[in-house]
Amino acid sequence: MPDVTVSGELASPAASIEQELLAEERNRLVRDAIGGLSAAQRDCLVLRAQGFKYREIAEVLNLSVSTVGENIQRGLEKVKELL
Amino acid sequence: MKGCEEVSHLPSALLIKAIDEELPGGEAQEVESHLATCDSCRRRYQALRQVSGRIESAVAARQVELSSEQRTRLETELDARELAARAKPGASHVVRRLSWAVAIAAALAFLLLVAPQWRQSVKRTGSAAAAQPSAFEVDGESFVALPYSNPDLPLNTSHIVQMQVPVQSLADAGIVFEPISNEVAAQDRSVLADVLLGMDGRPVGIHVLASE
Repeated sequence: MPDVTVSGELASPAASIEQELLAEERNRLVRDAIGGLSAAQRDCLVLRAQGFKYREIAEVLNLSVSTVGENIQRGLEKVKELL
Repeated sequence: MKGCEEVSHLPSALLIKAIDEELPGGEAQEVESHLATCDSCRRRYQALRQVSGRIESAVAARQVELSSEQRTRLETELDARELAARAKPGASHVVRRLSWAVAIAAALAFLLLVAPQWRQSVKRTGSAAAAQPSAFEVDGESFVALPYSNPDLPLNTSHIVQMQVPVQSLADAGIVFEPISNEVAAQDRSVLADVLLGMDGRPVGIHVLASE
């Protein structure tokens, strides 16, 4: 019969799984909040989250840079309220 | 402790632009100086940064993972399209940079994954077009319509992005690529496809090129 070591080593995977589940739950809440935004706010926030500059987002989405800024601000504030 | 009794608080728009490094040097310096002395604005700044970080994590968790081989293929494809666009007047808005295409692909994947809620809102408008996927042709390439873009907008033929699309996302969009007998396996599969973006930046149609 193989040795079964009951030690802190066993606690780590469980803690890791719990952390993963918590992270997934946190991400789900964020996705739900983003899903409730207007399409323009959602697109701008998702591209911003990819690290794109406002000018680049504006070009991809055919919007003005100031509109991108407004969408990001309104979207971010709505998500902040919902979380 | 210094307070904000003698100065007005910074608007959120300014704080967000500071986070995104979208302010010109002088203005960024002013915001930084203000944050160093204003507890209230600093707390709001930190809260906005925290939310931004959570959004980045949520998006990154759904990001389409591209292998180096896929990246090379995508880069080659984009280079070919750019060359074609240069030779063809009128197609001036081709996506030029690989990083853009990767981000758009990631954004599309994310949007497709939040799609069920979105699709319901489309259906609630009573649009007959949203009820059944239909096919259409652009530059000789046939696309199956996706219910995420306004069908009344003109087509932007230069915004075609090649990407891996999860089969499950296609099924969620009402497009059954093949009979799905195993739910778990279907979630893990994806297909290579050309995705046509609408003028609003959202997917209008999809042309599946090959399954994984």
